[in-house]
Amino acid sequence: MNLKRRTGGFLLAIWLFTAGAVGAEPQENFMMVINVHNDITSISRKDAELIFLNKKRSWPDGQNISVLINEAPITYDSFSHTVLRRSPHQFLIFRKKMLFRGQGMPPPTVKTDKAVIAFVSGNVGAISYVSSDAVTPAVKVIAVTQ
Amino acid sequence: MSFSSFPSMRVQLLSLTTFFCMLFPPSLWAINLGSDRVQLHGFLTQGYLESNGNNFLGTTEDGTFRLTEIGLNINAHLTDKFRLGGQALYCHLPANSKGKIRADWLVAEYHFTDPFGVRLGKIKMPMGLYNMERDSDFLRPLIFLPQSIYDETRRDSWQAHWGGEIYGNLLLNTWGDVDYQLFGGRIQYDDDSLATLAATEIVSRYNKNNALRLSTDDLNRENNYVYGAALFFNSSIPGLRGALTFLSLEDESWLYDKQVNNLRVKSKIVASLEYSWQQFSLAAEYSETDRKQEQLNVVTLNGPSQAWYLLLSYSPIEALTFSLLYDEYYRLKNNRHEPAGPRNLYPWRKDLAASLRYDINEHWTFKAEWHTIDGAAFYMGFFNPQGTERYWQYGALKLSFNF
Repeated sequence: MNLKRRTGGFLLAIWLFTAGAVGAEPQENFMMVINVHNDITSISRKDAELIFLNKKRSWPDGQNISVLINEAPITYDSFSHTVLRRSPHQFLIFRKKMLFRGQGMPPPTVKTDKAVIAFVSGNVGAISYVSSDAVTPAVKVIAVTQ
Repeated sequence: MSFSSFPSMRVQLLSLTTFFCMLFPPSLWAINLGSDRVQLHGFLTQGYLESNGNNFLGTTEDGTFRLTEIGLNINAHLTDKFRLGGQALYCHLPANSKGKIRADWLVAEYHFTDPFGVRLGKIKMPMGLYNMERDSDFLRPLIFLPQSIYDETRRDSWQAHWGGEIYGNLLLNTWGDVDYQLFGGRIQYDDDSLATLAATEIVSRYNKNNALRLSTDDLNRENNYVYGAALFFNSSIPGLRGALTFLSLEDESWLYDKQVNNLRVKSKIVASLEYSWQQFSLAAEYSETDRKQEQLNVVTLNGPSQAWYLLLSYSPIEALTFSLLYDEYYRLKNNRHEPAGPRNLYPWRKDLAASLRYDINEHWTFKAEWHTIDGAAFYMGFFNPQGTERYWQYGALKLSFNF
């Protein structure tokens, strides 16, 4: 069997295997959090997008922004679709492009809300997001406006 | 024993380091040094390429596994605004005999403000949507990008330049935002770059005229300058992105004190549009390259080429993408089908391709694709000295790991 037929057969098999699979729309299930010593009370969706895409790197007072990505599945999915208007997979590809093109370093990632709370409470310029029921007084919740 | 006299040792070292990294959790490789942050990342890809009718990029009609890329990069934020970084790349392609390790990019970056930053060093050149990620297979939708614009024979030539660029992001109120880059410098061509190897015909003619026996090893290919600009428009409509890129350059090739080739690319302009909607995405790009080439004081090429493609992708699940590509290229926009000499009877390329990309997990990607082609543009005479076929095909499989 030549390569053309092998490749065609493989493509067809995968197509049939996955036909009909549809992704569900995510529900909004996250809170944007910053350090309690930061004066900000709200942030526009566009500014938040630029911050997490490494295009906006300082707060209005000049303080450097420290971004942390929370990969806890439901929170990550909700944040990514709502704020970045892209899927977590597309966001991952974006970060890899930035890295392997030589255009920047992607922000660190964690996988639990607890790690986010610890990071944000310990860094004045920090911003991240947690699930709605994980907020503690150690961090400050800010509204995301359209 | 000098390090440079044994390039295979460096390749082995790079391979071993990458393989070692594959064995351990990638999170180990984000190293914190006090308040500064250093990161080490890399990738390894291995492919298989087979063609029918013509050889493509080397001897491929019997199939070849000479489709390997290994990269290792390190980045360090020395301050909040200052970053140093570099990536070593080993690239082994069918016609690339030496497979040397080279600096893929080597950057010192200072981010003054969000709308204005500066990079110096060896910097990736923006050209269309995908030129900057051509060395990293897992970042591209296809194994072989649309050749009309991302011609694989010039991949190593038009990948990066030594010089500088200014960059930044500008907000456009409710319209969205724009990423811009303005760059200038010089390209350093490797001795084993495809465009250099393919200059055998010029060398042969020069030898014949002067009763000499020089080879392409005696050829010195230099870039006098390259400059350009890029605008990437991220619209407020979710999923819609556009780009406009421009570059201009001049190359010369010398056989000792005799200039045998001069290529002046007056302008290469690429206009791009990309739109994603639910599980579908559409990418379209149009390009013209206005250039003039003189070989041994004879004008061999003068005028613009024309290139465009449409790439439609469907992702039934996020990790899996099927794509259909139609891609067209004409060596001369205003003279599309006239043979360009006895070794280039079909100076166009029309490519219909189907592909699959499967992201097995965050680190592993598998791709497969098949191309059916009418035409034999882009150095096909060099790869097929016995003559080129007008209709031909090629297929490729590739597995990539990145961390």
